Amino acid sequence: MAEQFDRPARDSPDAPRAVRPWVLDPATGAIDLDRQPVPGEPEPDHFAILGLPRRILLDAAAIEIAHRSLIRDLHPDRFHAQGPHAVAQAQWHSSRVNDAWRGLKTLEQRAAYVLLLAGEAPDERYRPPPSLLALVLDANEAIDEAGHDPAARAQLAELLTDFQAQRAALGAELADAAAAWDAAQAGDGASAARARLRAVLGQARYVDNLIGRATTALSAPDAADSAN
Amino acid sequence: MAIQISFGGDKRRDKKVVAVGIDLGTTNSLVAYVGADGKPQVIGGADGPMVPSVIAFAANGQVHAVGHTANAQLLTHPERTIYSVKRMMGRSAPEIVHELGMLPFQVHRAAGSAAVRIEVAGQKLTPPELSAHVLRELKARAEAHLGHAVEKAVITVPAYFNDAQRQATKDAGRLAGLDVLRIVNEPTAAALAYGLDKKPQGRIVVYDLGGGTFDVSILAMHEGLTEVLATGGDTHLGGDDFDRLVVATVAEQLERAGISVRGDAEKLQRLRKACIELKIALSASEHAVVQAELLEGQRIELAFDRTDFEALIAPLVEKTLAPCRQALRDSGLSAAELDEVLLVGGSTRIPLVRRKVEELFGKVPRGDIDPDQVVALGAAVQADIMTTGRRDMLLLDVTPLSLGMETVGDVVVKIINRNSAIPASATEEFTTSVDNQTGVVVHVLQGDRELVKDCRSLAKFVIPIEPLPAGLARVAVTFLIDANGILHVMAKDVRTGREKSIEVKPTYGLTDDEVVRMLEDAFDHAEDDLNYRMFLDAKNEADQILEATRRALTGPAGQRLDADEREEIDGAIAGLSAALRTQQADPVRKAQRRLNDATWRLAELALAEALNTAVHDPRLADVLAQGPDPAAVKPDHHGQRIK
Repeated sequence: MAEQFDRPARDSPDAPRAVRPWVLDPATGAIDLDRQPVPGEPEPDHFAILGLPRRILLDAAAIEIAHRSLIRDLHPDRFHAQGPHAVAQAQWHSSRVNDAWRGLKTLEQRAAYVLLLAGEAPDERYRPPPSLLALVLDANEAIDEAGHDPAARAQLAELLTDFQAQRAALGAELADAAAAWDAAQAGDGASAARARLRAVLGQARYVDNLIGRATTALSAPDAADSAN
Repeated sequence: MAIQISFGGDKRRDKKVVAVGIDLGTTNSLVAYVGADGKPQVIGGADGPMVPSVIAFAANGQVHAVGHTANAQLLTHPERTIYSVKRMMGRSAPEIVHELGMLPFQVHRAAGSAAVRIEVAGQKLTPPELSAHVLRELKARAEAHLGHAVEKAVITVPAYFNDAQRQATKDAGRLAGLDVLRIVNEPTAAALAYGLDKKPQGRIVVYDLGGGTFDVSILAMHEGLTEVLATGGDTHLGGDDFDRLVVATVAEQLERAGISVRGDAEKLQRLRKACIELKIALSASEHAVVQAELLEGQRIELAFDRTDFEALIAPLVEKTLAPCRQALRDSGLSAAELDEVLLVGGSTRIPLVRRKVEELFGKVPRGDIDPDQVVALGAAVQADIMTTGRRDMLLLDVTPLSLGMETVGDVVVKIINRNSAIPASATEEFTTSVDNQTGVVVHVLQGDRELVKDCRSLAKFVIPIEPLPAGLARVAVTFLIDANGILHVMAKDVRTGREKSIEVKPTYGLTDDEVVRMLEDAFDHAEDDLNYRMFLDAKNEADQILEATRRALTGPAGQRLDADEREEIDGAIAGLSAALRTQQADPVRKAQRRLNDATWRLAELALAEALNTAVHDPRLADVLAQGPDPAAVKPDHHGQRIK
């Protein structure tokens, strides 16, 4: 099912062109609330809905502007005078505009989304590399004991600083991997770019999770166990 | 100074207000509209704009008052006077029993229906039906003020209301004869009304502590777009809880002094009323004293210190701060990044609440909004936006609770996270695990906990699937949360692309068919209600005539009647008394006409008697000697009075 998304992009890999938001008629640019995919055409993805190029590296402000301008035009409140059919259609389109915006807000989300479009579901059982694993074991111990033991808390605070440094490094690596994917998405290096993206994203998520748990354990000692 | 007197058509009637905004509160409700000047205003009444959300039933089951008059009946007939209906909306029977506490109402659940019914004055009514009475009163108030029918409304609900509570509110509107354009979250409405004046660009937090519920919302406003970033709250926390604590404390003190109020609904209501007065007084002064009349003639003095009151409610006020912190986290902002703090709801007048909010957000709350009216004003603005086609403003809200589905192991898998902008949707694909399986059961829940038992069941439904080998059939189910925060479910066969119809049975509340049936019943009932009101009017008049006749008969005029006249009058009185017992307006009016005719000469005699007395009164002689009052000159045709 996901293969149908993995079609070659029409644009050159170097500069994917912004298209009109999907709900706008491709020819006239007018809102077409009744627009449906033609038979064989896949449902539009988040990028198509917002009229953004399919890239991981996008300007956050550009995404916000695209969302705001579309939601102002498509919100069902705008269509009350035009009857229930228009309201229902507006509801459907505006929900997808909101969903797209929610799904593309951060670089991490966009990276995960392009992997999903390529048919790669996020791997829940991601296994970190050995270097990370040793840190994780220390962290788990420190988190468990951070409740009342001041020494463990101090050790955890130190580990937290390590995690944050790691996360910053991973962020730079992720941006790099994202740029590589943006450039290669339709070309020969696409598969390798995806593999790299998947690995960096997996590590970043792992470290994010550790940072979250460590922060919670340090701010509210008793809540350490119930936090997730 | 010129006084404007308008001739001919009233200006208000020239441009119709298509839709009104309604703040349907736990304790008080308000209705507002946007006038020709583009400004929202609340509609006042003889007792001010607030209509207590109280419904008084007569012994025969008819609703005979809503609002202030009904509030008065709370003291005399608590057993057939309903308040705090909002706390019952969209809830299960055990929850309502818990909400009602010590109130003397039975809660029923009919077989084959998910709707809960409250027994009052011999009738079993659902919370939306009860709430519809309050809405009808507000609708009538708006119609009387505007001079034309009002059929559309925007109604506000707490931001933290779940799907069932929103649906119940919408049903109530429908039952009251209103087309509910939109269900709007109260804090969002407040921000909208606030933003109208100030045209702010920035982030604001709305802290809304009402009678029964607490909400907090963080919003960003830019160029007319009011966008909710995060919301949180507690639908079980409000000023009523403060009242309950004060009542419990005072009741204990009274008990020690040998005055018992336990189990006595009337005494408890009187005590509650006095305690509310105490609470309100303590917002302005450090010490308050209130006279309570627990029984007719039994007056006692109740006194309370603000420090004691604050100690009492501090844990509850503290409880509101956790959702505030969570909303801040969810919005991704820090307190320092907020530009304004808005306080909404009567309970934010309490100094301790203001202090705590100021402390948490590090900012002095705005003092220039009326916490009681701002929500209704915002609802009116939204009604105006939706009906007048103005496009410069838009409200983009979020869903307060995550939406999920039940999966193996009684775990809930989230499909739409809380604080997602609405409308929002998610599509899930389902397939079969057994050959020739004809359906898949889906259980939809709302809430942010992991386990089914900790979330709120919204609905269950079966996706119909044609019998095929296992795994071949594929159905895509789309869950859509609309702009009102209400869930819709659609299904589509992935292979054929054909839409499938699904019957979604709500876990709590009314099905669409039930609402339609109630509307039909209400139509029949409307006639009953109207008849009864007409009877009450006729009865009032009849009572006055009976009283006047009896008085005249015992006076000097009565002595002058002959036996036939006397007999005729006695017969007519008996006839009217009998007609009153029918509780029908028509017989009463007929019998009243007969009494009128019969008392013609009695009235003449009584008038002559009165005039005779008056002529001998020196004051009347003065008046007769003076002639017409020179000051009573009528205004000239320009409509101006000349000085």
